[in-house]
Amino acid sequence: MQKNFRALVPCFLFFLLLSFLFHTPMPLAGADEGTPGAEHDAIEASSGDLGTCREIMARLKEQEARLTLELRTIKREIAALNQAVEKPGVRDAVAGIGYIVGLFGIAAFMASRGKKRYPEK
Amino acid sequence: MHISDGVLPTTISMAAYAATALGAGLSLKKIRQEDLPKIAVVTSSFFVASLIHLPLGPTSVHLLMPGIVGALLGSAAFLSITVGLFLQSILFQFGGLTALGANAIMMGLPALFCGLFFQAIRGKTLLRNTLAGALAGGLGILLAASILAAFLYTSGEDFIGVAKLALAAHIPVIIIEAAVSAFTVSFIFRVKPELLHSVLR
Repeated sequence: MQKNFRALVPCFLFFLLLSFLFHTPMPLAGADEGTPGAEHDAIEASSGDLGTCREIMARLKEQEARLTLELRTIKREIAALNQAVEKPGVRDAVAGIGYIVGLFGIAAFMASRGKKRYPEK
Repeated sequence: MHISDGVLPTTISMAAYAATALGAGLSLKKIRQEDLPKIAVVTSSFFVASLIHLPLGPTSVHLLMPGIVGALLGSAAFLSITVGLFLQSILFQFGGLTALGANAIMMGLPALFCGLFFQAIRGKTLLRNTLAGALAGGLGILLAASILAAFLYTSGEDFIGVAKLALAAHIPVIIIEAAVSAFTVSFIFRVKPELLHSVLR
């Protein structure tokens, strides 16, 4: 379960990166056209791009921080779970008591059978 | 205080197995039918006692109960402890199956000795019985720790060092065990004193 979750993290980051890449070239294509007005537009556009880029980066980092935090809690939960699984619980105790009582029950049964035979003889 | 698998040399664990089989056989021979329910109940308590962890500072300790088992069961204690330890090793993964013989001797011999000791020093009064119970309970752990050190000595450890370590680790257990044994014995003495007459032939 932990591994599956880990595998999701690079996928998610890759997806973010892809969406980031496909989103930005559109305004940048206008920057290559050479006319002064277009250049001006391009500068404006690219500065806008820089803004969105930063924004995206900030969001990405925020997301990553949140994910790391979540991962850490999940790891901790898994460790606690592992420990709890290894500890013998009430079930084991009850099972053992059952075994013991059963064993001595069999012993008592055998002893009582042996006893009954002698007086009859 | 359990010896794990692979700690002891093979010859020692085989010898311990043989001695355990002998001891369990002898104690099986001496069992009287009317004692069977009592033995079953004491064995169950011995089996479960190691699960009850008492918090103590940063760590926790658990009861071992060889002394009180010996005091209550007498010669049947060895069988009882062997059965209890066997189930503990398969259900709780305490100790290990190859070390079962050594573990049974480590707990069984102190139990037998404590049984003798308890019957010898307990008088007729509640106070003396309670004191005898406390002494037997503490002595059980003391002896078990010494036998543990002796077993580890055969696997190449330094005897005095291990003995000191084992005793130091079990001082709180000795105290708690003595208190629990005293309480148990005084309770049984007041409620059903005939339970304390164990067979020691």
